[in-house]
Amino acid sequence: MGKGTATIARLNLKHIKAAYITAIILALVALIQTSIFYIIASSSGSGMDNATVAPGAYVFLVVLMAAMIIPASNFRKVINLGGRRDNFFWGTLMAYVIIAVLGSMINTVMFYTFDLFIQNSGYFGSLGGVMNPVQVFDWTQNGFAIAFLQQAAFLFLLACFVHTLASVQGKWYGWAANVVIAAILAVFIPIAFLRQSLVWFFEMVIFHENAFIQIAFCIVLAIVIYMLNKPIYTRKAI
Amino acid sequence: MINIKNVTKEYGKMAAIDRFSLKLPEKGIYCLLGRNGAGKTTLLKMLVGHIAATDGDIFIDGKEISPSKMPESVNYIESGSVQFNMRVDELIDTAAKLQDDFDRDFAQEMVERFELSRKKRFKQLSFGMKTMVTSIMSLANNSKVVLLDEPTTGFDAIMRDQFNTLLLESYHANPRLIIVSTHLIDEVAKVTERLIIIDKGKLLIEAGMDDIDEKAYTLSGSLAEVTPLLDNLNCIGKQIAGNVMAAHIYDERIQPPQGVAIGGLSLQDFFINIVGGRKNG
Repeated sequence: MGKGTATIARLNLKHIKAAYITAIILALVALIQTSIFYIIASSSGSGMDNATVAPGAYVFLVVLMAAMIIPASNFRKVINLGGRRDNFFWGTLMAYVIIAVLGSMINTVMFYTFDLFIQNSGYFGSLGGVMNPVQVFDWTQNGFAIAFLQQAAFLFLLACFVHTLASVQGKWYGWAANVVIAAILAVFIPIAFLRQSLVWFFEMVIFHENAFIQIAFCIVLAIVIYMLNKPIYTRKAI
Repeated sequence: MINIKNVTKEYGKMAAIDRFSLKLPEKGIYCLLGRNGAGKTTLLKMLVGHIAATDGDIFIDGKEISPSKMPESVNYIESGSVQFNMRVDELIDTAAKLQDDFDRDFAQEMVERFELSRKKRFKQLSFGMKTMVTSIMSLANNSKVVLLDEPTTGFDAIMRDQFNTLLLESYHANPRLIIVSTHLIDEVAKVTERLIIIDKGKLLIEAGMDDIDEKAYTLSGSLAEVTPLLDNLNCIGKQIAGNVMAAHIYDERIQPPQGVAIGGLSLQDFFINIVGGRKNG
């Protein structure tokens, strides 16, 4: 890490406006929609079997879009401002840690306030009115702090994976990676013993009963995947 | 300082730079001249390690250059390059935070002098203003080598003159090796010390401006009188009209015989003839 690493992290966090705007608009729509359903259900008294995506869940969209915008658009601009490739590598990693931590914080708080309020109202039957990954993935069973950490680790892994995939697009190894991922999903799912390895993988990154194993696995895998970017960015033409 | 050894850069089957060798040992302002597509930008991008050479080696201050070994001592900002859509003063502050040898005061002073609005965002600037901002950011860097790629693109005559002043002031404040790539020949002749001409990826000439002034000239006279003189001279172009010939020479000056006039050759004519743009006779 050298001079400018923190500056590059800040640049990356600032210049992903499309991600912020899209997520905020969708989250607001979800918030308004759920609120309207709540008002209708509570005033009619009969309730409704309904669930929409929780507003806080759109932090996942911010992570996904950021991990595409940063390699596709910000890398060149950083270099054009005289930034160094090495500093971009570390500055971007720093940005993903911050996005994952803040995103997880926002969604966990939203879940424990708004989502639980809606679900506990009892107006939405078994579906509960809102669906939030933090609950769907069972991260809430150990309380707020662990749910926050499990989600942050997963978001960090998601960011590193999408960033790496976006960085190699346009190169032969990028196409090869796309084909391999598609092939894994297409071939592994129908074949029982291969499907078990997929199940094992998703259990490790999402559903493991021991939260600390899930967190550690996500962080280690994220770093391993992100390190693949090192040779990519040292050779990337501008 | 800069040593380019037999460098080739191929895009598919086309060689943008073809077995190019050049040594620039001293500080100074060099003009890299070539037609559109001659390979100027490709060469500069290889010097800064933005793209890799297909073959050959580039050394700056004895250190080998490649995308994995980007030199700290070289600064290059492509004109017309995409930038973050920030206010001009924010862009300069950010560049100062990212670069080791950035002279923020110089950059701010130049922004004032060229009456660039500090508060305008990059995308709100005109094309010429954008180029000026990137040129100022390049010249504010005090690296040993500064590469300016078409820094006057989109400038009007007054801006071009101001840019020349800026270039000279920057150089005198901190002498270093500055390469200015351009195809606006006569403008840059006012400030440059040496000229590098490339065409179709090959080095045609690297010489001092004084040397070119001395060696580039025109012999005019009747065909019968001028033609024999060309046997021992490096004739870079001819224009024939009826029985009269003007031969453009790049060679030691000669004492012309009676009936043959010797005249100067403008840098533009020199360039046109040396890259083969004028074929007549």
